[in-house]
Amino acid sequence: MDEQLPILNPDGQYPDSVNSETVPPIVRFLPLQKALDLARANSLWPLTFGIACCAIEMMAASASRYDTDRFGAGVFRNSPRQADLMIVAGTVNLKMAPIIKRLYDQMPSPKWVIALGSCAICGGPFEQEDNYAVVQGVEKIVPVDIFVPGCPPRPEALIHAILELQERIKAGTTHALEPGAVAPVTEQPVEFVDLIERLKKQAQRKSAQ
Amino acid sequence: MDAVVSPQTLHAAAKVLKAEHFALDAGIGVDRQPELEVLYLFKQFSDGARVRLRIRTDRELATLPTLATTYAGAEWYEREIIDMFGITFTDHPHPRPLLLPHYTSFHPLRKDFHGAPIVIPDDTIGIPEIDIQEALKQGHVAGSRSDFFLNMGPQHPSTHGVLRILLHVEGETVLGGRCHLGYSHRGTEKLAEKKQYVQFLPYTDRMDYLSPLNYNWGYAKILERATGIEPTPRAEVIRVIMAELARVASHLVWLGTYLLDLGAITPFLYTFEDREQILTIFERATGQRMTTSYIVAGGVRNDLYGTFVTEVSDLLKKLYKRLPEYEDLVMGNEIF
Ligand code: SF4
Repeated sequence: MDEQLPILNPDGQYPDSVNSETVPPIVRFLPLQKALDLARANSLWPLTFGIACCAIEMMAASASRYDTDRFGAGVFRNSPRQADLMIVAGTVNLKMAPIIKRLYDQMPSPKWVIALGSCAICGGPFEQEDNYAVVQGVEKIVPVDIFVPGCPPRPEALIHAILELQERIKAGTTHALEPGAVAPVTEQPVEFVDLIERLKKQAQRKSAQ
Repeated sequence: MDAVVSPQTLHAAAKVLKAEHFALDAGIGVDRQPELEVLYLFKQFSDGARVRLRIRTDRELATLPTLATTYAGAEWYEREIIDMFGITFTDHPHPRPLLLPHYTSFHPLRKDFHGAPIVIPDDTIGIPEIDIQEALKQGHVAGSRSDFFLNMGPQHPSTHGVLRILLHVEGETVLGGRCHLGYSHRGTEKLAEKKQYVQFLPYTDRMDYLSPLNYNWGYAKILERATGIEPTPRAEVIRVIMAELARVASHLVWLGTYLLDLGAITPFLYTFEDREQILTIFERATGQRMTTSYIVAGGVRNDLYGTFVTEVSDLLKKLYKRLPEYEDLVMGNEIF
């Protein structure tokens, strides 16, 4: 059994630092957790939700030629309460932002977010000095697992993102995994770097201190 | 005809136009520094006559009479102008923002506005209080107690995009509804102010992303008219072919998603495959599947590739055969 992976607290949260030598867990969830992760990774149910141009490529990815059903991620749900993957496909604007946050909160945990297209990453072509309407990246509202660059990204790129997400779910390295997770709001604009890598680095820094 | 009218004579002028069966085409705000101007475009459909009424106001005062009492269609145009220029229209039936959130206080299309910080409010409630109050007011006018208000959208499978409608329903009967727009407003007009004409071309792709070539063309046409550039005959032919293909691709999306709404999932898979074939041609010709930026002022960006003609004629032959198949698939379907 892999002792390095964190173990859930009784209240369902991952502890900040897990030291299994000093605190032996009473119940080990790890095998169950792994089985669950495997099941979840291979049956992602995305939320039907397109905001702008990128949504058309998302539809193309789910249609016959690209067919995300092959990877178990083709059951687009209309209700956030039945979905566990949010693909933010398009430009998030001022009026839309609270609604996206609300939809995210309505999705049951564990849940994951893919930011599809430059708009969802950083505002894309609408990141300009005179801008007043476009939120510069959906990461300011909900935590994002995978960023897919492109304007719009090709359907293959979305498929790649889904496969990558599946790998991370199986490895237990997505950061939005905790049940009852509440979206942290990032204050600063985030550069285009992989969030997981950043979180890992943070953890390393913490342990080094 | 182009006329500047005073606020007092606007109504009289509008009544004359209405008696002559002119339809309101658009209402546009213009910042003529220091004055603000509202431009109403009218069109007579029988012989295509056009009339432009301009009405001006002081920047500080920014108050004008509404046209919505004569032309009901002016309501939305004026609401947009309220958002963008901060002009108050007296006697306007619903003077509330159309595109911007209700809590903002800036007016983006005034020339002295230079961007605003993006502040997302903490509350994640989809229906602002002001909407509920408005709905309740309407409800009590209707008087029946069994009616209620239902929020539809902006995330709703059948609105396809981010339209939101506040529905007034009684049982299964829709008594009325109020549309709320602006969930996809990206401030393109403001961005255009600081761009050169060629720099703005890629934004036209993103206005109608289902048939970007047609929008490229519209924009290129404007530039050509303004500058007197003539495209070459070959470019014109390429434009027509490409724009027609884009139109067909756009209709295929419509057909697939419309039937999806009616509960037929299979046609969606067929139409998208056909669309993919058109997109493949686009990709070869323009380098992009969707955001093509291909039709530029003066012609097209690059010439077509060698096998374009045979590929398109093959595709068309295939599509012609597809049409009866689609009809069979839908109309000849027992459960449909
Ligand atoms: S990234 Fe590009 S294609 Fe995607 S929504 Fe934004 S503008 Fe449209």
